[in-house]
Amino acid sequence: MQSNLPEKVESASVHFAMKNAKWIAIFSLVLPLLFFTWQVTTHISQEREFEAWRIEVQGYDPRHILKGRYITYRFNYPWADGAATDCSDFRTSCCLCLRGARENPNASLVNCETALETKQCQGLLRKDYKGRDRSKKNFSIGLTEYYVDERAAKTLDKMLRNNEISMSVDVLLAPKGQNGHAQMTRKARLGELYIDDKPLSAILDANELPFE
Amino acid sequence: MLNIYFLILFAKSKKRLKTLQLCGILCVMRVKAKLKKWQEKGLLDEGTSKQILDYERARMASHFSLGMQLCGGFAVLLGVALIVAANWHELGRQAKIIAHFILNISVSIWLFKVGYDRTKPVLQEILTLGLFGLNLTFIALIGQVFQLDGTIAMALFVWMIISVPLVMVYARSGFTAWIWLIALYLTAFLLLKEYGVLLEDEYERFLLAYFVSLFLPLALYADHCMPLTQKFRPKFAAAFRKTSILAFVVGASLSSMLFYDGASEIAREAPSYLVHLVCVSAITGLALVYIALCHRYFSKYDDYDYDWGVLLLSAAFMGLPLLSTLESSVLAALHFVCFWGAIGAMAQKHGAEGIVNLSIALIAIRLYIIFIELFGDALMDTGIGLIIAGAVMIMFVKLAQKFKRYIGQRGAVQNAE
Repeated sequence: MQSNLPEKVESASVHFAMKNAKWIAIFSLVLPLLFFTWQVTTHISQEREFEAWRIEVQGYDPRHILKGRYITYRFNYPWADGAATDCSDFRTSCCLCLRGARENPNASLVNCETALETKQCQGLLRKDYKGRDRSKKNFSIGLTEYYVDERAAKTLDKMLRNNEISMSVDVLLAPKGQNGHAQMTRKARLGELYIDDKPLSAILDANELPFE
Repeated sequence: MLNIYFLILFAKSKKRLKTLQLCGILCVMRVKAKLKKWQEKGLLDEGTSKQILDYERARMASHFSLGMQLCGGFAVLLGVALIVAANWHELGRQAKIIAHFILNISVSIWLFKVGYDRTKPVLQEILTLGLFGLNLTFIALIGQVFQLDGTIAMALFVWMIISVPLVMVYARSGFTAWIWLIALYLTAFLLLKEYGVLLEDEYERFLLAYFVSLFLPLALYADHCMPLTQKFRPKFAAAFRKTSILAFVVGASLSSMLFYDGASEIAREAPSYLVHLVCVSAITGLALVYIALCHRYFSKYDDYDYDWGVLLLSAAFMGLPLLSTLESSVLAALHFVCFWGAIGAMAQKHGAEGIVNLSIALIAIRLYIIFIELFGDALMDTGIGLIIAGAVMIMFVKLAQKFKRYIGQRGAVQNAE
């Protein structure tokens, strides 16, 4: 379509763009850099501050679409005796409560508000249930994919699914609050991955892949 | 590396280079044929015809050059990415982050300098596309290094947000505009797919999807009409216009499929039929009002009557099948035929010959399909159906030819006057 716009368009937005062209250009280039700086510093500080809870994992199908790069698993929670293992009683307020040792802690599902009041948990991760997942029996905190480079991912994934190795991962949660009891967090992160209690990064650095 | 090899191999062979140029030559040939026809009819003199032809040849040559350079730039970037990927495990996580950051800063500074000088438009375009891609790979790298549990939709969403100013400030070509639009539509689709499930029920998800599928192309079309876009980014404006109209026309055409069983299923998901009626009417009505208001506002800048007419018609035809719970293949065909009939009539009035031909072809094919659907169970019925459909198709073609002749005669009379 042939535009009939006059040569000098009388528009405030056009004038603004022409007057501040240099600053708009700088902003457009700096914005992504600022975002990446903020992301990297946030994640590095979270890695330092967050508390690691090591939980065992087990193999799981279907595998990741980029199989060969990721290990896919699900958490093998060490549920505490008599603790609730589904969220259907707690409606939308459902938390994963971790207690005891940092390695293989006792896990239970609790009402988030009650857990905060009673200070019964050392690690508390909130899971919001929306849509039809509300009554789902299998509680999931996500974080079920771990990036491993192509030298090891495919083999490890297969060995995990065949129960040939034991694997655990560090789940990083927000640190304790001022009163010493767990702060509730909605966002957890993954830390180190362990194969037979040895950190994967150390195994890869030393080129000691046990299965090669 | 394979891509670079093929590209060099391709570019080195003169024979293949000629094949690449064929596309441009064909376009020029099409113009040449038309110019010859217009010259014969006395509409153009020889001098003007030669000038137009020379202009088209020069334009196609620059298109070809730009396209090849962009392809080359893309292949180089892909090659570098593959080499880095092949040695990925050798790099520590800090090294990966720092190297990517330095790469982003370097390309940003280079782009700023090139953009400031305004002397190398092709390099500026390649750097913009490169930085646009690097922003995405940096997001992916952060997700990978810090083992984040993000979704592809969220990664694309963040990418679009942080890259919009970059693309809008530095990109100029239609090629970049189309890439950006594909990324935008893909992001919208994945966001709806992944985060739509956060809504309470399926009917709410449908309403959200319907709203977005109407208003995303409309917003882009309105952006195309804005003086700022028209003045500074004419190629982007053209791409916005084309994708928006394409999305609406394809959407309206496909919505006729809802008469088979989709619409009644959607209505069953709603709390009641009345609620469904009100919700669909409200969203469609809102879209129609938006189109009307935009048309009124932007008509002071240019004549967009034809475009707004197509958008208005498409929005109305998109909403129609959703309001009915009837399941009928005849209604589906009728909806499609009426829509394309109206589009054809508008195109004829506007002088868009290609769209008129397209609408006639689509209507004929759709009628052919409905006859097969109606008579398609047994061999005997299929045979009768095919004969009737074939006869109807021939009749339509004859009618179309008569119609075209009539238009031609009318045009000749108007020219003579």
